[in-house]
Amino acid sequence: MSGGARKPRLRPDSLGVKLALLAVLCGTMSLLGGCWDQRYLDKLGVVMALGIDADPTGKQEFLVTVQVVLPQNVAAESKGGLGGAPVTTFSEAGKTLFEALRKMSSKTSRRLFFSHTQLVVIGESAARKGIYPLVDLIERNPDIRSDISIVCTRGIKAQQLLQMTTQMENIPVNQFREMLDVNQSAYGTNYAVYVKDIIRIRGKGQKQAVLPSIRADGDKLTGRTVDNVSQIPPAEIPVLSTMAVFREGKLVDYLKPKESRGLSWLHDKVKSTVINLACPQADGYLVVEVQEASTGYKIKSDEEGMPVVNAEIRLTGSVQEIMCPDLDVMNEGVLNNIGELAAKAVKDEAEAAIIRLQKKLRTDALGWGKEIYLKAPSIWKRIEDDWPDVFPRVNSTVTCNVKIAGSGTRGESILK
Amino acid sequence: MQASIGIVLLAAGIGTLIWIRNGAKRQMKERAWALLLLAAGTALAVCLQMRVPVPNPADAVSAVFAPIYKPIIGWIEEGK
Amino acid sequence: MGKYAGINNTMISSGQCAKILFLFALGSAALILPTAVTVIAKQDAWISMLLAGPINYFVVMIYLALADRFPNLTLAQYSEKVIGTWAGKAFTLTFVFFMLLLSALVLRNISDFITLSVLPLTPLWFINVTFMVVIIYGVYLGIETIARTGEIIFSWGMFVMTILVFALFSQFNFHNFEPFLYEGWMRPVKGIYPILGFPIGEFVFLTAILPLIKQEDRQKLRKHLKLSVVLISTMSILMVVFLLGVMGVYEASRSPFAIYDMVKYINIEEILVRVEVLVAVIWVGTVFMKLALCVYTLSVMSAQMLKLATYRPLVAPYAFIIVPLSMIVYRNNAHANHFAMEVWTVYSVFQGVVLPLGLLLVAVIRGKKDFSDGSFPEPKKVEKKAGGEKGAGGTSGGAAGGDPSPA
Repeated sequence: MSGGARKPRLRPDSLGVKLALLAVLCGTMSLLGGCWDQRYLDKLGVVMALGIDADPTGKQEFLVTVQVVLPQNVAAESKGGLGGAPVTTFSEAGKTLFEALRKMSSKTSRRLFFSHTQLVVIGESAARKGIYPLVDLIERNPDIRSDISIVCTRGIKAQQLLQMTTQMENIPVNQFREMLDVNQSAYGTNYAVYVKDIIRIRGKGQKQAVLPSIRADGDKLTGRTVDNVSQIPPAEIPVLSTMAVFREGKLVDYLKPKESRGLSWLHDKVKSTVINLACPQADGYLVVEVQEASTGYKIKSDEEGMPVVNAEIRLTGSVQEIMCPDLDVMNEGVLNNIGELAAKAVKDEAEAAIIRLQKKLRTDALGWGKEIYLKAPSIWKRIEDDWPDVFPRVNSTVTCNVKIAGSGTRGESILK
Repeated sequence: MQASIGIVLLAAGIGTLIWIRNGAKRQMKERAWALLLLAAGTALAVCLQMRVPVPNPADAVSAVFAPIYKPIIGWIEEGK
Repeated sequence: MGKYAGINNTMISSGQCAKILFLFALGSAALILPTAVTVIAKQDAWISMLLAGPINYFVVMIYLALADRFPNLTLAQYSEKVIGTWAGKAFTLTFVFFMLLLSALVLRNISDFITLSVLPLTPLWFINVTFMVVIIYGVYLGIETIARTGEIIFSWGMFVMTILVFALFSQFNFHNFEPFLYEGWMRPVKGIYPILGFPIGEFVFLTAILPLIKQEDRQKLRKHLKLSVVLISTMSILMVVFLLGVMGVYEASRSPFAIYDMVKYINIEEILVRVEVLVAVIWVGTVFMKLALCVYTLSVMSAQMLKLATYRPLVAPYAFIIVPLSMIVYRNNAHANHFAMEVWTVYSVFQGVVLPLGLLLVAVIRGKKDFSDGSFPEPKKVEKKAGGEKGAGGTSGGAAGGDPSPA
């Protein structure tokens, strides 16, 4: 309103209005939003890992174990004193996961807080019953993140694994989790699988799940105490075993190390590894370290219209250890020869994995259904419904191409 | 329950009287409509609190447009 | 707050108009649209977004055409001129109901999102009330304030979106887009259906905003709106592309707030983690803009329909209606899903495209143009208006001449 208009009755700068406004603001401030959702930090029990077993007594379905951090002990340890175990576990049985988790409130003095959960451990017994129902809570609940690692156990219960103390990392979950990354980048027999991968498997393509597995070596009784980590080496340590294969979400079998690495090759998950080769001209072995690896698939169709899967693996590596005489690595021909030997070794591993998965276990953990769906959808439309029967009969070829870049920082070996 | 509704109505009544009395003649029409809407809103809130089943406008819209959207949805869903 | 704050601010520039259009489109579109389209069109959802761009432009053209005929009038005013007083009022009444329902739905959307993800224990009514208090204040202050707020939110929103896009590059997987057109062209075409509902049909709010643009900016208006439509399409396509690329079809169609879940996956060397709250903040900002514009349009249209001097007294009462309405309107999540994806498109296209198009045709046929200074609302000013009621008929003085305020 330009000037000259009538003066409004309720002018914004009169005292009464200002006081009223102040009163209203103070009033609304007292209703601070978020008060319903307040969570005090020292009333939270931060859960680092979730472990699920089948209930041994058989009365309930699952035995759920959570590993909760004890911050006072973690701090004490880092100051030099041995403060006691850095984590504790709670176990409870229930027909469903959520029920068991809430039932634990009869044992804990703090509300369990799941936003920092980093690992899900599925015991062998629960894995044989099926893992897909276990993943539903993680997906549905907004607190638990979906990009956490998921592993399976072999020979021990998830409860026992979570009760083990570890020497290298204060909080045992970190050790289990980092072990996967280290193995993937050093030896390649296992690779990390996240909950989001399990979710994504369930789309089109009927791919089956594969999980890394952990077992324990050593004395189980001492493994739960702090004495475990005050010896060199510890009395009980967790060890990564090979990949576990599932069919329709139920655990079927564990692979052998050679097949497990073959599966990693085929899934393009190997970051670096070493390949042992027998020396061509003498007794002894040489080692090729793989520095880069990549795998690609092509789908062709044969005369009957069935798909043929061609996997192509490309590696770059270098010779890093020579334990036999008479190997002249400054000769290009020798390097090429070694390359071919390495290619054959890798091809053997991949084919071993394919034979085990395709013919013996008959589960499409290789992801071929998905590849056919992506690359040759017309073929997939025809065979989609019969895929579990068609899969064992699919032909495949594996070609491998290895480029040897060099031989480390030395030429010929001291072994002449 | 009755007490709180009584208080709400009382406060509304008093506020209305003050507002009408203080309003200049020119603002009467606007204030009348504003009061009408306020009354509707308060009634709605009170009904919600007392769990009186209020007809849902979403259902009204669904009913009115049913002959149009149902075939379209049928066509969209058929391939899924 | 100055002495006459909010009273004299009725002129926005065409750039601001374009930005608020963009924020309006992004308001709901970023929240629920990607999931809706992905469920129908699967991995070709980005094609649906691409096809929706021209439709978007066409619809904005309708409003521009109407605005060319009646440069200073809003829908409520010129509908009375075109089809007669009482029919016009009935026409506007349908739009009032539409906007009321829309405001309630938008409010319910954002409070659903906050309840599900951020504050699960807080009661729904509290979040609604807190939001509406701010909206009442914003709408009370007038369109120029809303537009300026929009500019700020626009810059921040673009900044955050750019960062997020770059942060997700490493997880992008081209294979998620195959097989291309697995089920033929009809899939992406069917995927356009949700996009028609929100936001395209809801652009009818432009009819209340276009008359408020500064005279000097009117020539640039077409260009700016074109740019805005292009930007809307680009951002939607980009979001759906990233959604599909990072999460894949199956996972993207499972979550109601897919973009939020996608942002949860950002993890750059363990340093840039858990940034999903940033996206939530931007969402709240854009939905605030959308809601403010809806309530503003609602108040202005009803005030013009009832021939009031100013829309201000109606804002708070409407807020009182919208809050309980938003709690009633969706019974549960399943009903919300069904309504938003199936019924809403038809209603919204009917109100936002069919009715204005009909009005345009009638206006063309009856040869109605009116350059009157419809500066709402006709205050019965003693000063210069001879023959008060219907805005100074014939003077194309724009806002400078008459009383400028929808105050």
